[in-house]
Amino acid sequence: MLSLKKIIDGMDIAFFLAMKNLFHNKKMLILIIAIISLGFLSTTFSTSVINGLKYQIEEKAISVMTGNVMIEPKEDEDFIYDVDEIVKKALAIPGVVGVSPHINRGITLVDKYGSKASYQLKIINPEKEAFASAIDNNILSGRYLSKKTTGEIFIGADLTKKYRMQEALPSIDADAGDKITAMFDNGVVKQVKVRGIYGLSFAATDIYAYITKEEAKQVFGMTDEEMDVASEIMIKTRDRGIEEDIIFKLKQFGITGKISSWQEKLGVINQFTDSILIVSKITGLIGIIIAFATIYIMIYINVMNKRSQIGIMKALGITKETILVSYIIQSFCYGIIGGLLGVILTRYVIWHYTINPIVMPIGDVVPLISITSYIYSFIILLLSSLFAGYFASQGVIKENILDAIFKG
Amino acid sequence: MKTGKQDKKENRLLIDVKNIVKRYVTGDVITEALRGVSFKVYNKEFIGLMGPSGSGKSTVLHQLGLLDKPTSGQIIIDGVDVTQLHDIKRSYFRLHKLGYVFQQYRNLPELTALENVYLPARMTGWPRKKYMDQAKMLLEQVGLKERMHHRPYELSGGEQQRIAIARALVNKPDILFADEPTANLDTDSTKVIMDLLKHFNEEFGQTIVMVSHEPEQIKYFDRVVRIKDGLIDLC
Ligand SMILES: Nc1ncnc2c1ncn2[C@@H]1O[C@H](COP(=O)(O)OP(=O)(O)OP(=O)(O)O)[C@@H](O)[C@H]1O
Ligand SMILES: [Mg+2]
Repeated sequence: MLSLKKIIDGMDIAFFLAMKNLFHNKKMLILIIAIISLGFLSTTFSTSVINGLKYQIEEKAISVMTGNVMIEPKEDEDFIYDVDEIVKKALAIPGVVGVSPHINRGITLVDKYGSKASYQLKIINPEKEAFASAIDNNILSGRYLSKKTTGEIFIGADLTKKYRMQEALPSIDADAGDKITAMFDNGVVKQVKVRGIYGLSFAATDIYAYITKEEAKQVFGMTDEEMDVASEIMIKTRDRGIEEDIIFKLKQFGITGKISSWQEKLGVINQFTDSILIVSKITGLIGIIIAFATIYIMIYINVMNKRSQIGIMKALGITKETILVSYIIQSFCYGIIGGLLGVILTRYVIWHYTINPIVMPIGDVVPLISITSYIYSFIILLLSSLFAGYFASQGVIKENILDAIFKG
Repeated sequence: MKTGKQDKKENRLLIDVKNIVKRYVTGDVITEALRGVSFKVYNKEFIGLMGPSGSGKSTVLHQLGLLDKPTSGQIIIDGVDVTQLHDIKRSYFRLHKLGYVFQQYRNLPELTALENVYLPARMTGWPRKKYMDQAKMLLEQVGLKERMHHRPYELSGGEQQRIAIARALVNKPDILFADEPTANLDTDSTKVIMDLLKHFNEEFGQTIVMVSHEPEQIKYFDRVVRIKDGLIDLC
């Protein structure tokens, strides 16, 4: 009965009827396509903004806190040893652009009014740090450290009254050039000058104080040899995505200790960005539901208005499967045209905001969207249009012929 | 469509209606629209189905045209008991063997006259040229070849009904059913339609079963089957 030829003939009629129906009411067609494409735009665009925001947050954390890869001491040790050796080896790995060892200590700063603020102190070689981190590129006031700087300190914006983003933490009233009192964690107290203040408009990164090794030698009374240790070594790579490769090579070089990628180090921030992503997924889901509901309602209204015509077609001998397929083709066309237009619109809007980034408190955010996520959204849209077409029309199409013709 | 002047003496049995009953149940009310109707239709006949309003004429035609199923009884069309057929077979039967004309024309508004006429032929899988030629030939027969690219709303009632007749005939059906095809038309258009039906019957031997309640149309019919209160009226 149901030979291939019959199915093909049925498809021919289904397609014919679908096209006639689709283009008969052009205003309706334009309206439906507009709704679907705008739905696609709002979904993919909001996802891309959230992706851009996530990327921006990660970039900042990488550029100050973790680098792309971070080496830390072995489980039972306080320091990494033979640091110069490790730095040389790491720098030899293709893709590594900066390697900077840090010795982490504590410091409390007191301004001239007596306000105190506690910082994590990082002892660095400023030249090496400049290759590995972004603090030198984000100076809000004053200057960056140079290798020989002593008696001066470089601090994060979040603990100064003037440059901080939020008022959550205790802060000091000091700007570049001001003298303040530094209380180091070994008990040494001395007057230092604020050399510069850096800030990336992100609270998590703007909470460190930096001094040079030269200064540390004086404060902590250490020799060059004693300085060849590190609490952590920050490694910056040319691009994201090659971290696992770099870690593998570091291990091949026999570098021991705990070696982690930024993803592993940024647990808390990941939790935060992951929750934003969930929001974006929900937005996406709502967009799909809107597209589904739009197509469903449009097809349903269309089918209800055509009850008697559907009855007539069945009376002529056109099978209900053929009629059903013709409505599915119709809604599939809404999905395809609306989706393609949506892709074009989204590309345009994203292009626009790539050239003119969105200004957010955290900085300029560029919307980001991957090809896969375009394809994914598009496929979901097509599937939901198929289902909407099917579910909206099958009830009426199953109806008894006489009821359809005379009650429709 | 068969050609040439047809001989009406053939006497081949085409439809055998055996004691059909149709009951409608609406809530607690049971309407017995047909209470055991039997009659025969022979090949190439032009039959008038007549009777008072509400007697069950349309109901009979719906059963014969496979638009509905009788509550009981048999309808044998060309040797096949159509009351036993499944949905897909019934569609196939309607498409290939039956043509149906409604009182209210019922053309599809999105399609032109030509498209309306060729739609059932295209559904059968004929090649494009064949269904186009057939549809154009029929439009010529009904005198609307010049209007074939018009949509139904651009045509008069009589013209729309002629399109509907061409559409019903496009697949060369064994039987054409027509349910008061002239009820919505004025006298002139009515005559055009009746003459056309007669023309198809006489020139091509088209079997036609038509419902009518106009006594002046009796002259067109070879035979009249009368229905009264859901039964064949023998007097
Ligand atoms: N779907 C239905 N539900 C209930 N009763 C129905 C239904 N269809 C028809 N009837 C009843 O069946 C009877 C026969 O109706 P039918 O339409 O066949 O009459 P008819 O002879 O065609 O009348 P008319 O000349 O007015 O068209 C009527 O009493 C009608 O009310
Ligand atoms: Mg009737």
